[in-house]
Amino acid sequence: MSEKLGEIIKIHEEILQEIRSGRKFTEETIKFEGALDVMTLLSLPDNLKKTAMVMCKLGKATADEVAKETGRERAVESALLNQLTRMGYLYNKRDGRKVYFTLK
Amino acid sequence: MKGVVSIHSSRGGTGKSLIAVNLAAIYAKEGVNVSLIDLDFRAPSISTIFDIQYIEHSVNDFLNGKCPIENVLIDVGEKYKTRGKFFVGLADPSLEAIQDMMSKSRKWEMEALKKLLNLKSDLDDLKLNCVIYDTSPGILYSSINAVTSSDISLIVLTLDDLDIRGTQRMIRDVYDAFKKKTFLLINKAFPEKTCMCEGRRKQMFSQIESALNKPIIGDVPCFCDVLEASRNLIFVLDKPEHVFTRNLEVIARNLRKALIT
Repeated sequence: MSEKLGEIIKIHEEILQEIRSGRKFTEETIKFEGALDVMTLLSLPDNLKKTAMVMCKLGKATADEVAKETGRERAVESALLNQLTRMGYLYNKRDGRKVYFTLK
Repeated sequence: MKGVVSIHSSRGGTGKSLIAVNLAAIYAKEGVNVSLIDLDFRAPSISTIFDIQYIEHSVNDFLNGKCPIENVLIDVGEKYKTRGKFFVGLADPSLEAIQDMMSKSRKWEMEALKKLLNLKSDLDDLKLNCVIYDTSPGILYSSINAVTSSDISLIVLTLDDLDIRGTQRMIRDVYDAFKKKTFLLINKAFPEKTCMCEGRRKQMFSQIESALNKPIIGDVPCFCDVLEASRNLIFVLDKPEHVFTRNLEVIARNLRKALIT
């Protein structure tokens, strides 16, 4: 158990070190299991973190619904949601005219 | 007043649970409908303080999706004769439950965060004004989930240098990343009978605020009476005139203002 915890703490420290060193986290650089857990949220840049937090709360939402929560433009949220989808944290599905994003 | 407050610290033994229980009791006594939720799954202690032997539904059950939050909350308002509703949600103190909570997957932790983020609307239905989370110390999934999902975080620290440095790291690594509205509470500040001039005290607190870049919401001096009191008693209800109670009432008032603004 303590070994497992040690591993988690080590990984977390590595992520934090990389953040502090100014490394940019992109789709290519982030290795993940697809879960938007709180430690993953910590590693995201601020703009993505805000969108990801709202998705954590809503579970399933359109860009419009996320924009209402963040107070940013729908188009901005749409781009960020698509980025999170490409990174593997969300999947999207079209339903008529609307595109729904869902947590993986 | 409406909001969720997480009580956190960088390491154990700072007095988080004592502060959480007594803050909740002050609010309930003043007529606020409050719920205290134990999110310290590694070392649950709230059931001992409230002397509750049997837990039908625990906070663990809620996060495991086994029951809604209303099934978890136990009404202690009648026992303590509070004006407001006073509920507690207890973490399962059994060894199996502690082991189970320490081996959850990241996916589970994500679902737990979602449940906590949505808890506020669940609690609206129960007509609760304030929810206080007692968390595990340090950077653990359960504590960071609690901090992230709360409106305000109160970091309890002592004047121990280890505490101050640990808090500094935690603020930099976690709190600032989430831009969390945060206050510091200095616990066990000075021995009861130590004469420290007001100027020196202010200077020390100002140095801490400047080093941690967060405001101090109040301080609670170290009282032998509090340490010696039975943990089955809620100190502020048992000794309403004590200086500890008075200090915590000031903190509760400041916190209430911060939740409103």
